Amino acid sequence: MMLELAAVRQQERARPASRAVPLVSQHPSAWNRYSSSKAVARPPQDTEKLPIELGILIAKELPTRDICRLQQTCKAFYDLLEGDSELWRERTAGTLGIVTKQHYQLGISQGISSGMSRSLPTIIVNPFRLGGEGNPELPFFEVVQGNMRERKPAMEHSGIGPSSMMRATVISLSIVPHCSNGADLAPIIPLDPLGTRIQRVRQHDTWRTREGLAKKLNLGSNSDIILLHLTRSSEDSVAKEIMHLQAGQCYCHPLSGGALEAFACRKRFWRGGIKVKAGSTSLPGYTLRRDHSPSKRASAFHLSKVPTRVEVATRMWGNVPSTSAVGSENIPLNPFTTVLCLRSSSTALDAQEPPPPAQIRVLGLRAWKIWKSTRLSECSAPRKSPKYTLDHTIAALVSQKIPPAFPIPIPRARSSQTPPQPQAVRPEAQDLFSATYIHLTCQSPTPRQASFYSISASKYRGSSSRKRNSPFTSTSKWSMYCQRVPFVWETSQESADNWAGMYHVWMSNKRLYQSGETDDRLFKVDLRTMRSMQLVFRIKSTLRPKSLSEKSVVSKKVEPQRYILQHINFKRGVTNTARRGRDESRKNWANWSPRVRYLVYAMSMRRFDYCTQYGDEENENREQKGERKRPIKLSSSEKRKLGQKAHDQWRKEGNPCKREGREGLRREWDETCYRRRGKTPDQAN
Amino acid sequence: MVLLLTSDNEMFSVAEDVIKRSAYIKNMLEDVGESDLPIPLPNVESNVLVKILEYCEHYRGEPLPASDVDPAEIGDRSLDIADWDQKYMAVDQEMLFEIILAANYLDIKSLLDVGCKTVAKMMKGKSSEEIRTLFNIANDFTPEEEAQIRKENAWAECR
Repeated sequence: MMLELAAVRQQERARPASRAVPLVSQHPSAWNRYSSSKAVARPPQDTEKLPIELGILIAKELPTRDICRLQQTCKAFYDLLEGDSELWRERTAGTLGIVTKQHYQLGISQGISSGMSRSLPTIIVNPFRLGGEGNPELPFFEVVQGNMRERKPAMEHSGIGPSSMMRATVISLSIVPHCSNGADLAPIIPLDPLGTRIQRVRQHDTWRTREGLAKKLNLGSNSDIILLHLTRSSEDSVAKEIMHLQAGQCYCHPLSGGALEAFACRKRFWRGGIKVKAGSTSLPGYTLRRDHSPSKRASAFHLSKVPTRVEVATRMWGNVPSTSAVGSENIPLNPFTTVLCLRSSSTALDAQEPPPPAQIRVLGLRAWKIWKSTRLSECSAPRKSPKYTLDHTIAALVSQKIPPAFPIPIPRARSSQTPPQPQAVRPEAQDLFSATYIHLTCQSPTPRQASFYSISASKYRGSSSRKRNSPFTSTSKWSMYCQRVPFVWETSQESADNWAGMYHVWMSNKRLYQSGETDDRLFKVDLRTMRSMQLVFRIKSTLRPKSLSEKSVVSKKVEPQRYILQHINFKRGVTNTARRGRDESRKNWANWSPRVRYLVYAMSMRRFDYCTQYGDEENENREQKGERKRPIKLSSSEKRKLGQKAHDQWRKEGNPCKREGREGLRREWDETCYRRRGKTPDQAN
Repeated sequence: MVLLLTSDNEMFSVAEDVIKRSAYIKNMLEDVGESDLPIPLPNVESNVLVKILEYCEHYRGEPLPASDVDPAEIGDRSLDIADWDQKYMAVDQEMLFEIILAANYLDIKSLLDVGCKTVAKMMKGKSSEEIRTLFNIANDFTPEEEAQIRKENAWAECR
């Protein structure tokens, strides 16, 4: 009797709190043969019923994706899992780390840190599902509250002004929702405006894989990570953008200044019962507004008062239009993907505009603006045509006579005349391609999309005091970029002093992906191994209104006025090893099309003038004999000296472009070409 | 030795250090003290208890798993199961659930975890329809409800 009593007591003794969940009686059709469902194989026996708590225990072992599938099996599981806030809390707790850890774990500058701190209040995290009765409503911001308090001093900035903005941070992003192997790359390559932090970021090599990043951020293995730089302000477009990204495409562009806002988006964020305190954000000047849709299934939270900067869109979850313009890219977003959206204030675009073509989107906001400004809709072909991307943008730029910084060779059709083979080449220009690495920022997850690699790089002038300096005197400042970026574009019609440039490189190189090289290799893309590359240059002219202050220029409020887009097709057959690649590229240089050589030449004229040094006697003799010159092998110190000499000469004589304008530059180039062919321009004509 | 009486009135004599893996029995022994009377286990049949005892015997002498869950491990669960446990759990579905039930009743945490992981492993990667078929679950959603839920969880369907 005593034992029986003890047994009863034991049964009544509370289980661990985590398992104290409703029993079968609340979910009568819970579990296969034990349930009272008609589909049971055997009549249910009360003593054999599997407690529903075990269903939760089993579900807790499942990945989130499978939990959602399990939810769809029957109502009992739906209610059971939907109502278990602890389950969802577990599932999403790890992702909060991304907002609490990122700004200082990235090892980026204090300015970015403060920007990130200021963005923290807009991180709206309420991942908990509210379902079954009896579950208390979870207060809004409950999870991040502690962190917000901790970070309060850092957030006490006096408003949001351009001076304290995060500036010139290239946001890289990774879209690897479906893969979990080593090919899942989640690069985070924040490029500091001064290039001073890159080295520190490099230390975080583990960040360069999705798994490494997840580990660093203490995320679960089931977490997908998206770092997304929002380009558009409307909710729908955000959703489309995410879907676009989800499809493995890439979007990245440097921030052009302005406040960055971050928020984490969650599925069912809009679920009823979430307690939202209006105006509860601690971000100065922001209030939180909640809008309900008629169905009460969806509601959007808006941070108002600065609507162009921040619009927290939450309807994207479950509300993604199935008939989106992105067509085949319409893949629903994993709601448990962490989406950290960084948005600059200058990205408020017309929400009604259709999404730009994929390539343009890949190229970034600026390219999109070009695309928009060139009014491609006036062309006869449909706008959504994939062909309407870069080439048409170039064509439109040319046809509309948008003044470029230097003459753009119009792309020719491949079937047209074969380009004349030059008799002499400028081997020095290949030096541009030696030791040039650009970091890969995105990789498509599937082989079908593997032909797209996006490369981005940017540079900005650091401060107004530096702006006054000649770009050549700031070599050290850009040295880090120079090592990575082949084309340091230092050009402008008026002056090379007051512009801020950036470019995006979009290249396709299927071979790199297929070669199965290491992660590091994939991130360290040698331009010599590329087969084709597209460059988009945005050059900010100094022809800006004088009324604008230097500050506004620095903060990129002045839109760029000239754009140069270029497409380069390299000769096939280059190898991917460094040395052979270099040799091959030297050979191939002779076979590059004139416009490519022109582009390289035009770039080399300004930045790499020292490369043009030939003058030794042997070469002189060669020239007299009409043979091809050979470059001098220079050490780095000699190159530096020659570069300095060229720079001094440049300073003394002035910029040829400035001196004679575009015509002068073209003439010089033509003369160079004709001289090498043994003709004069007059003879050619 | 501890005497255990199953629901089908079979008596088992088990070494105390073996059965102490069950928190239920352990607490009961602490409450009651030494006794010659058998401990009734009305929710456990003899064939299941044999399996349970096999598990306890295998892990005899090994330290009990900590009850506290490391928060850092949250979200990083894996479905890895030890080889022996996999072989141990290679039983039919009915027995598997019996073991899970018994482990839950006897409060043998490690066995319960293994059982849950085994079931979870069976579910992993399967569609909702496959899960229904596997576990004989009736679909009691209306078509509208099902469509709505599918829409909500559309992301889970695409790989």
